[in-house]
Amino acid sequence: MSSCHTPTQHFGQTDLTIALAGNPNVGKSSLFNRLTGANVETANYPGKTVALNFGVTHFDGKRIGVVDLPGAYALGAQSEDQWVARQAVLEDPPDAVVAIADATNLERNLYLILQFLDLGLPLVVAVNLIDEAARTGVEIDAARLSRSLHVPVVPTIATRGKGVDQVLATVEHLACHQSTAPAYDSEIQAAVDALARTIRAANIEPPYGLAPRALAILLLEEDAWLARSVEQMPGGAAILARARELSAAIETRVGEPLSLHLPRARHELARAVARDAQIQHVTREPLSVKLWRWSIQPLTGVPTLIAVLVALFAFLFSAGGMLAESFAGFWETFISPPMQALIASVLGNGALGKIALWGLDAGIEAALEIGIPYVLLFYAVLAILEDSGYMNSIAFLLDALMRRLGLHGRAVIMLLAGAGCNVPAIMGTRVLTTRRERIIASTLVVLTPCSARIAVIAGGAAFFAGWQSGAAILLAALALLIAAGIGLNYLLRGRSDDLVMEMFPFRVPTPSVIARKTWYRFKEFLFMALPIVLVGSFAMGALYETGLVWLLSAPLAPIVEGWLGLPPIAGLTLIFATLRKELALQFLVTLAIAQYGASANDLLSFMTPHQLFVYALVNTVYIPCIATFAVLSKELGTRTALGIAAFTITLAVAVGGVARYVLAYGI
Amino acid sequence: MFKLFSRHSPRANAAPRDEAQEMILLTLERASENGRTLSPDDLARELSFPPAPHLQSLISQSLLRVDTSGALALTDSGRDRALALLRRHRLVERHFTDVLGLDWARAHEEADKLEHVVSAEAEQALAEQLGNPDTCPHGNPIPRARADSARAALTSLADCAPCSGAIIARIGLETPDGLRHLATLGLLPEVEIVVENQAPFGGPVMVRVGRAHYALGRDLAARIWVREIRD
Repeated sequence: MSSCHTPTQHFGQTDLTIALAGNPNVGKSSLFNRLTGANVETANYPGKTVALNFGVTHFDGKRIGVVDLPGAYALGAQSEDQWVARQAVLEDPPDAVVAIADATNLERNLYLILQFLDLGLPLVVAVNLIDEAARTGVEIDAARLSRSLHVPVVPTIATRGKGVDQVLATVEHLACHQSTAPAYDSEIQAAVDALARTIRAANIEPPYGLAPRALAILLLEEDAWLARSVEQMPGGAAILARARELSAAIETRVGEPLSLHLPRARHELARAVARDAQIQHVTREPLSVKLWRWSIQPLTGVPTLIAVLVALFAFLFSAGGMLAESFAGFWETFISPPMQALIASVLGNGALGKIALWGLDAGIEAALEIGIPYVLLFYAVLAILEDSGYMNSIAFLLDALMRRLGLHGRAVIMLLAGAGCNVPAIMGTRVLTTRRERIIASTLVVLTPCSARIAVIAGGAAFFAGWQSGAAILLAALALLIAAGIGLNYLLRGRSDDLVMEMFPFRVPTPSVIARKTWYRFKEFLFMALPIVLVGSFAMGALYETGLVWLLSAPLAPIVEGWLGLPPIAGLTLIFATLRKELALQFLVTLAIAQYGASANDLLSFMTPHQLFVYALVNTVYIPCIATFAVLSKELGTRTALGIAAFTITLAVAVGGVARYVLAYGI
Repeated sequence: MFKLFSRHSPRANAAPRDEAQEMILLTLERASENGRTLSPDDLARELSFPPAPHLQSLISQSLLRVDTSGALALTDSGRDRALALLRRHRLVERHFTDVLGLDWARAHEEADKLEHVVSAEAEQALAEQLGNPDTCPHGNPIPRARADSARAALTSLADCAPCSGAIIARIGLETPDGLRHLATLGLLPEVEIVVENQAPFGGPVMVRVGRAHYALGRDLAARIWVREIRD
């Protein structure tokens, strides 16, 4: 991950740079995608997880660098997305900030815009989603809005590219033109002016070259980040003392600290400006709003949620299965034979050649067979759920359940992503603010059966022992996940964050946004999980081809044969499946043929349906694979990763044994 | 892994007995101020030391009782003690922010330490010097001050009927960051909101502020006190 202190390293030489800013869900990504196409670079500030996207666009013969700031409701130092958005424009002031506002909710969006004006940055406002606003009867008078804010305002429909050229043309003419500061009430104004005078008199160099007025506002709002940097300057302590004095004087008059009074004044100004610029026509509530309301009413919402989830998984397994089959056919016809020939000619037919085949032929094939049809498809569907706004309805309905597991409703998306591949899902838990929540969420992700484990459940238990057996394993996994969440919530100290989530009516998802989101998650699967899985394939090949694999039979016997009641080779495959979980089944067949002869390719010839059930259950519950373990260590530290691994292994062995005896005695 | 499950930090274990008991009384009073009752397990999660060894002593001093549902409840004398402590805590906070110019978070931390040692005399002097304030810097009422009686008419957001209008009266969060975050979303005292949806089984509350809708977790909603608007 690179630092983003010099934007030129992301853009090369540009004639102009612009920063796209806006609240979440206002079509900012649509505009960014429309401007920059596919060639995008992503960078993080050291230690921060919220990313900045960089791209380049061309307009009127000029090369324009575009920075996509994280979506945020405000610019402060409280949350990471806000901090990153502000830091990016302070450290590398763009020639213009393009603030995208949602026309359906101008008032709320103006808050952020007023904050940009407080910072004194050159600004163009793009009022987006004007088509959607029209459907709800809202019309925005861009000229009036422009007069109130003293900045250019362009109406846009980013998804259709409407108004985008005009935004760029406006930026071109605007460049480096200072904006006019918003006018709050006289009391605030006087305090800001007084502090600005003190700052000027102190003769300090304001951080990031901020204007004295901008710095005064931030200090009066008790911005901890800037207060710290001012404190270290000569004369800084006197400035901070003056800020507190002014703030206290206002507080005695209005009864609340300026750090709350200023946001209040900003909201009031935003409301006044919005009311002046918008015309409300009487219309009927659009269908998208009605559907959205139904989706969060318990009576209609809960059945809908169940239906959506069942349909989602049914679609994935039918469509994914078909895709996987045709992919396997393609690989075995066109890629496998020449690769085998090549390896044989380079490494020969001995153990070395066979190990290479394990990794390069079978390894890549199986990984892609899971990866492309299941994981990629799954992430595309997940992105549609998110972009349409339905994910927020799911989070709303499941918040009560998730809270009992020590998480808030939005964490449900991480568990859903875990059903694709655990690795990107664990990386996704970074957005949670406390370590307690990250440990709980990561453990629950690990207990979520990923595509690879579902493949073993489907191909092993469900195929040979009936679909009820597969469904029972999935339900058992769900029950264990909930129980583990309740247990961890009880055991880990501290409190989890409360849900504070914007709810917005359904929207038609934008294909470019879906594509980018899907790719972002899939990339983590491809570059994080896949390489480790391939190394695992070589390791597994080496252990098998050298015969070392059989050495572990005896030490495992008490657990595998004694407690779980499984044949010894099944235990071996469970151990080696940590390298390649989806291959547990294939490996089982391979070892079975080696031990019992060719007829063993029917698993039922040496295992009973009950044994298959126990086998698939244990395989589902214990620590998924080394790629997951690696990402857990990276994100939470090796000790916690070992803890989670030990916990899931113990849990798997325990429930596996219990399942064996329950099945045997028909309890 | 063992550290992961160790519930109590060594520093807090060293808290003197009386201070620990006072912390328990304060925590229970703060919870009841926000409309919550705590079981011994809930209490353990809120504190940085194990409360169990102190509970019996508090019960034998008639400061605490366990009600029929297993929740801890302050007796009348327990509540008096807790309110006195809370009053000292909040006066000290005011002193630190208004007179010494500390930020809210530091003021809260310092008050946590000093509330146990401030004498009645010093408390009186503090109150007079500060002009007998009604609220602490976070906006929470200072007990036995003038505004105390005004709280009776308030309802917590978690108990509001859906589709009712309300005006936010008080946000009972101790951390300024939480208050500021809500402030940026327009959730401030004296702001009018509409309660649109109460999810069942202790789920979130959906409120509308202007045209924006927010889902607020139930624990947070229980700390937002409103005056319901009746037609």
